[in-house]
Amino acid sequence: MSSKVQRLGEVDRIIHEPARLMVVALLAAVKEADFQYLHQSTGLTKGNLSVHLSKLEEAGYIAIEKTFRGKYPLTICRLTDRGREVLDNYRKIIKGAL
Amino acid sequence: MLTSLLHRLVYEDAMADSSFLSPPEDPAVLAGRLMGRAHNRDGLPEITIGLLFLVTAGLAYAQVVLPPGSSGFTAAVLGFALGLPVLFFAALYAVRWVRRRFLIERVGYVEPNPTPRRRYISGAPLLMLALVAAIIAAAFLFPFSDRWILAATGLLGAALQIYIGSLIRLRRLMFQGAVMAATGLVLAYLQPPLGLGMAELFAVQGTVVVVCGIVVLAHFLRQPVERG
Repeated sequence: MSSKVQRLGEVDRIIHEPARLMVVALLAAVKEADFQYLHQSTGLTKGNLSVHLSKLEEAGYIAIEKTFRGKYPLTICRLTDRGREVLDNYRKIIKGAL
Repeated sequence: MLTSLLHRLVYEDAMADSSFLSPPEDPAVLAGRLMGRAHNRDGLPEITIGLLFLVTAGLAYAQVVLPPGSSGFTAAVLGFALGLPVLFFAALYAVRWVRRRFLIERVGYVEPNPTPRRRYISGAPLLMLALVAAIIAAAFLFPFSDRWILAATGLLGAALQIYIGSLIRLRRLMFQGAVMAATGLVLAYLQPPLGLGMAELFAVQGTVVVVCGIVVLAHFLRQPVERG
């Protein structure tokens, strides 16, 4: 077995989960996005998305801030530097193995 | 129990985004697809693109029916050359403004990354520009008949729409591409004068795209607003 394929065992399990990968991949492509946008883009249910966001926040991969835009409440999510670093590493491993 | 589990798995996968069914892929590609789908979810981009097609058709038709040298003809030519690019960029901002002003509770808020300057002069936009320049140059250099130009315009427009549709897995964009290809081929068969044929091609395409966009927007607005 090649070493590149063996490295698949090193992938970050938190990011490797498909729903969380969608969230992290989306947040890596934008400056910031709110809960509703992530809900619309990923197609996840609100409860499911909420659980995944909590796990990513606990791991320190995303930062969540509650704010307002006019009267509209926003739950804004951003990828942290740590999250970006983990995603870059994940991307290298996956691309190497494919 | 296994059957029930399999049923749930397949059913829930089918209900969720199709990316669940994909093999592991580059997160950047995945993000691009998800954002592309989200961008087209409310039908606003299609309505604006369709309106741009209709304006193009109107300006092309004006150049056919108005006497050359008249003020209307000059305005149509200037509108074609200068007005359309301005309208295109204005439409991008208009879609964003409408979403933030009226649809934020439905589409959510997103702040895109600032686009690096080199992205404007590289990749797909540069390729498109080169392709258009090559087609215009070829049309002047070689004696193509009007029917070839009409067919080629329809097929190239269709190829672009089908490519984008397949990239973000949105079948209605592929359908719009198929309509454009068919219109181009039918016009090539009927052989109208080039200006009139172009006006008809863009008018048909604009109508189809606007109608698709309105149907999608109506469906989107009918969905209840979920408060998180």
